[in-house]
Amino acid sequence: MRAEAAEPSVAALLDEVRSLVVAARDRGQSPSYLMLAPAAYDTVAACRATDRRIGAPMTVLGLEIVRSDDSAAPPRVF
Amino acid sequence: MLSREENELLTRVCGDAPMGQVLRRYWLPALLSDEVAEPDGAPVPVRLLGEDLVAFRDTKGRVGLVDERCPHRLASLVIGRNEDCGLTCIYHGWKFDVTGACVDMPTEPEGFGFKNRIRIAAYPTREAGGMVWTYMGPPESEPPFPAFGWTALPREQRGIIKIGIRANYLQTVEGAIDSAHSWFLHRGSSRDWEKRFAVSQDQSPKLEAEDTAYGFRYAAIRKPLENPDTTKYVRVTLFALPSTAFIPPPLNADLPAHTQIFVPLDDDHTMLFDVFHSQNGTPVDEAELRRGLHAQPGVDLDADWFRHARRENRWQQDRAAMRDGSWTGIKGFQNQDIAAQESMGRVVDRSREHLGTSDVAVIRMRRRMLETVRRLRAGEPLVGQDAPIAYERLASEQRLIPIDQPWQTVGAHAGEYAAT
Repeated sequence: MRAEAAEPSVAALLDEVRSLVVAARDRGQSPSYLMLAPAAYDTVAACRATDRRIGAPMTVLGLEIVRSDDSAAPPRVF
Repeated sequence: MLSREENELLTRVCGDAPMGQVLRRYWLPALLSDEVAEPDGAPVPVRLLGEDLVAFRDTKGRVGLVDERCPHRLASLVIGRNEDCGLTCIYHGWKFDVTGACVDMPTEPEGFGFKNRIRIAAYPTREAGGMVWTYMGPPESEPPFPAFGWTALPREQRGIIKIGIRANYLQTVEGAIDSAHSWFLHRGSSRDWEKRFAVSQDQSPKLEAEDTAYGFRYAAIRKPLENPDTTKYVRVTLFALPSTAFIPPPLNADLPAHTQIFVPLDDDHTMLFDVFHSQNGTPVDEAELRRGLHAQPGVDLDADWFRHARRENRWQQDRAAMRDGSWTGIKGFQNQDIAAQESMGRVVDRSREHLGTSDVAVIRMRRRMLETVRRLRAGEPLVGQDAPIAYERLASEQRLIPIDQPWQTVGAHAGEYAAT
C-alpha cells in the first residue's frame, strides 16, 4: 500500500508490514514500532477505538503504530 | 485486521454484493449426489449465496437446480411432484424441467401460450467427486470445471463429510488455512498427530506465502527433532479461489488426505464439504469417517446438516473431559473448528482483531480475495481464470527436505502456476 492512497487498504498494509517484519527478523532485528503516513495511521486508528478506550496501545501485527509527518512515507518498522 | 469497509466487502455474499458476484463466477458444490440419488426421487432444498433453490434428479437422471418458488403464487417446489422429466407444483400444477422451462400450465388455456413466456431461474449442474456442482454466474463467463484429482477417484476411495456452519464463509476459510491452530485446537485429535509430533514439535514455524495463478500457497517450515541443522520439515497448504483449501495429507499414507470446500449459503451460514480421498488406493469408509468425526446425519447433525451442538448449548463442550486431558472437550476434528468459528459470531468484526505475523495465510487470502473483487470490477479475468490450470495436478504435501532446498519444491505442482 502506498501511504498516500486515498483509501488505504488495511488488508494490503498488513501483508506489506508482515513482509517488513520478517525481513527485519531475518536481519536479526526485533522491531517494536511501525511508522505510518497520516492517512494509513488514521485508517488503522479508526479500527482501534476499543484499544484506545481501554488504554491499550494501538498496534498492527504487534507493533505499536507511530504517526509520520510525511504524507508519502511508506510503512517502516523499527 | 481489516477496515469495516473491507470486512463488509469480503464477507457479504447475497444479492448484488461484490463478493457474491465473484463467487458466482466459480463452480461451487451445491449438494451431495447421494441426496438426489434416485431419478424422480424427493426434491431437496438448497440454499446458495442467499438464494433458495431446489435440486431434483429427473426421470432421465439429469440433476436440476432451480428456483425453489413456483413463479405462479410462489409455493415451494420442494414439496412438488418429481415425475415425467419435470417438477410440478402441487398447488396448481405448473411444471418445470431442469432448464427452468415451464413445460405444463394446466390452469391456463392451451393456445394462450403463457407457459412459453415464463420460466424459473435454473443453474447448470455437473456431477463430480460425489457432489453436484453448479455455476451461478453469467453464461458467457462460465470457467472450465475445476476437475480436482480426487474427483476421478472411484467411489470407495473417497468420503465426504458435509456439515453446516452457523458463521460467515470467510471465518471458515480462514480456519482451514490457519496452520498454527492445529497444534492447539486439534491437539490429540488427529490420527496423524503422533506421527507429526514425532517429526517436529516446533510450535512457532517460519511461515511463507506465495501467490499462484489459482490463489496462493504457503509453507509452515519447522525444525525437525532429528537433524535440525541439515533438514527442515515443510508443510505446504494450497488455497484455490474461491474457497478450496488443500490440507497437507497425513504422513501415514494409509490415511486419507482431505480437501475442504466452503460454500456460502448466505451471509451467516456456510456449508463445509470436507472431502477425504485416498492417498494410495486404500478404501475410505465414509460411514466410519462420519462416526469417528461425530458428523452423522440424524445423530450429530439435523436435517439441514447443521450440528445439534451450537452456541446455546456451548457446543456440547465437556469440561470433565478437559480436566481428563482433552484440550477442547469437543469431540470431532471439524466440530472443534466449527465451535471456534461459530463462537466468533455470525460475521466477525475484523476491525477489532489483532493478527500476528503467524497469520500469514489469513492475511494473504484476504488480499487475494480483495484483488479478485478489484478484477471483477475492472472487467478483468478473475484469479484462476486468466490461464488454464490443471486442477487435477494440484496437491498439498508435507515432508522433510534438505535445509537449503527451497520450500517451493514441495507439492506436486512445484514450479507451476506463477501468479499473474
